[in-house]
Amino acid sequence: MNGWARSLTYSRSNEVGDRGTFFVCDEEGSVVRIVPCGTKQDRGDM
Amino acid sequence: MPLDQDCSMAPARSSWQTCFLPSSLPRLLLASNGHVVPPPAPTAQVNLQPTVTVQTLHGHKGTITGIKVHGDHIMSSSTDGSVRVWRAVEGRGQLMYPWFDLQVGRGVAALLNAGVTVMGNGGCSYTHIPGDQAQGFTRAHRPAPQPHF
Repeated sequence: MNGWARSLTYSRSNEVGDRGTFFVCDEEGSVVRIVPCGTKQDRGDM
Repeated sequence: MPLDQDCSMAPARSSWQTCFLPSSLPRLLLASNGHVVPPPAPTAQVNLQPTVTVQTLHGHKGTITGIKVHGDHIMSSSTDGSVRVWRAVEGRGQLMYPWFDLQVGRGVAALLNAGVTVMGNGGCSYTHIPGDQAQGFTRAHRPAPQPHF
């Protein structure tokens, strides 16, 4: 990713288990797709 | 209001990025210098529910161009060319794209070359699929310049 990260957006389907995808575009017209693949709750008391 | 809401805005129009959290939580604004600050007070009306600063997220060195709340995490992009992942509760940075763990020392921090997977701090794991693999990284196709005769 070169230059500014011009925009950050998020989209997901309605399917179960789909955590969605982040899309970031830069100044060269490139789009980086960021896929959150897992989330677990950790409040720091474990 | 859904928790996952697009809060991106073109940086040329405003240096403010707004993001509305659920009604039980205060409103969140991310300013140009990467700080979370309260919105400007209205001038012609009484604000019955004044907003206070809850967190200040330091880290970005440029204008915030997009912010997104995703569960317990906040993702933000900036003109400094980075995307940062914040843990909303603790108010601390967790990851930054290009990926490296901002807080190594607690939890698992693993950086794999193939597909660059970062597992940070017992929180959310994000995978970046580079190159042509699964078309995770898409470069705009521009027409080749025509030679001038």
